[in-house]
Parts: sequence; C-alpha cells; structure tokens
Amino acid sequence: MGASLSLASRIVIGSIFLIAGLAKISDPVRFMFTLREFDLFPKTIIPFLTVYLPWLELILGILIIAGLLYRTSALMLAVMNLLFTLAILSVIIRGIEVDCGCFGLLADILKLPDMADYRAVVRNLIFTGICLFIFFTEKTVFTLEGYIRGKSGRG
Amino acid sequence: MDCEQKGRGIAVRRIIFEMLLILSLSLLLALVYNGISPNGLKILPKKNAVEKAVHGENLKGGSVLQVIRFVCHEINNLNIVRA
Repeated sequence: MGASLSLASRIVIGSIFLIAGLAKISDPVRFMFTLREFDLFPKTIIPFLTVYLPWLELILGILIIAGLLYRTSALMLAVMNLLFTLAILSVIIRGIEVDCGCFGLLADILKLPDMADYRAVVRNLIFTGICLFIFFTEKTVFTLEGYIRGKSGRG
Repeated sequence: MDCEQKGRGIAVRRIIFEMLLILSLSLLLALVYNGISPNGLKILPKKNAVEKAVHGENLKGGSVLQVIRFVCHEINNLNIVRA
C-alpha cells in the first residue's frame, strides 16, 4: 500500500514540476519579470535564477518520476517548495499583487489559478507534504535505482 | 560511536553528495541550453537573449521547446513580455 502510494505521489509531483520547469524554460522572459516583481532578489542574481531554477525543477521532476536519486530529489523539492512559500508569504504581507510564476504560460492557457495568494501557499504546503512523504517512505516500486541494483546483483 | 550513528552519518553524506550532483547537473544543462560556456561561467550573455525577446525576436532554444512556445503563443495570442 505504502509503495503504491509512494509511486503515485512520485508520478504526480514529478509531473507537476516537470511541466512547471518546461513552461518556465519555454518562456524565460515572463519568469524573469515575475522574479523582478517579487522584489526579493538582487538584480544581479535574477538572470541567473531565470536560467537556473526552471532547469532544476525539470531535472528534479524527471529524477523523481524515473526513480533515480528520488529521495534526495524529493527532499530538495520540499525545501524549494518551502522557500517558494516563504517568498509568496512575503509578497502577501507586503501587499504586492503578482503572479506566482509557477506554471508560466500554461497557467494562462489552462486557466490555472497562478496568483501569489493564500491558495498558492496552501498548494505549496500540500506539495511539500507529498515530497516529504516520498522522502520518508522507504518502500516504493518501479524505480531506476532498483532496476540498476537488480542488474548489478545487489538488490 | 555506535553503528546506528555511523549509518546515519553515511546517509547524510550520501544525501549531500547527491544534492551537489543534482545541482551541478542542472547548472550544466542550463548553461549548455542557454549557450553559455561553462568555462567562463558567464551568466550575463543570457541577457542578450532576453533583450532580443523583449524586442520581439525569437529566443534560441531546442526544437521541442520552441514548438511548445510557439503553440502557447498561437493559442493565447499573448505577447512574450507583459511589461
């Protein structure tokens, strides 16, 4: 039961971050403006974050779905989600109305709620919970790690 | 130090190593995709690409992502910059 639930969680959270990463990579300018609107980072760091963060999300999503280094990936995603949540909370407290920038253009096309508001905070906390569940659940199925261990005769 | 503590130490070191591996891999891919040489670690050339996009020219990118971007823009008829 735990293993199946862990697999389902991996697929759900991995897909979400894979799609979010692709959406941001495909529209870096929009993501850059979103980061600027958050008014949290120094201007010199914003181009780097614009280039780097979407790729990190994409790689973590792929690794979680594939089941390769998936526990570490889940932990990293949990930490990232917590940081995103803090960023959104700071925006709410300062009274700035901005997109959270989570899904880029896809949010417009699919009419997803993408504002940096309390719904985004709740959503991120749910994502964090799922990531921590994946990290702390030792049993799962259909992982590339398991396949490699099986091949090398260690599993 | 008993076995349990030793095991925990190894697990923590393994997680840190894996994190560094993932962070490095992502950085490398981001640099390669954006046409930035990993030798110089020059992040700013990306700014040129961003400026080009601001002025209406297409960004460089992989074919799949270009298709996604094209489809997104065509469906929604959005401008790339919402300045």
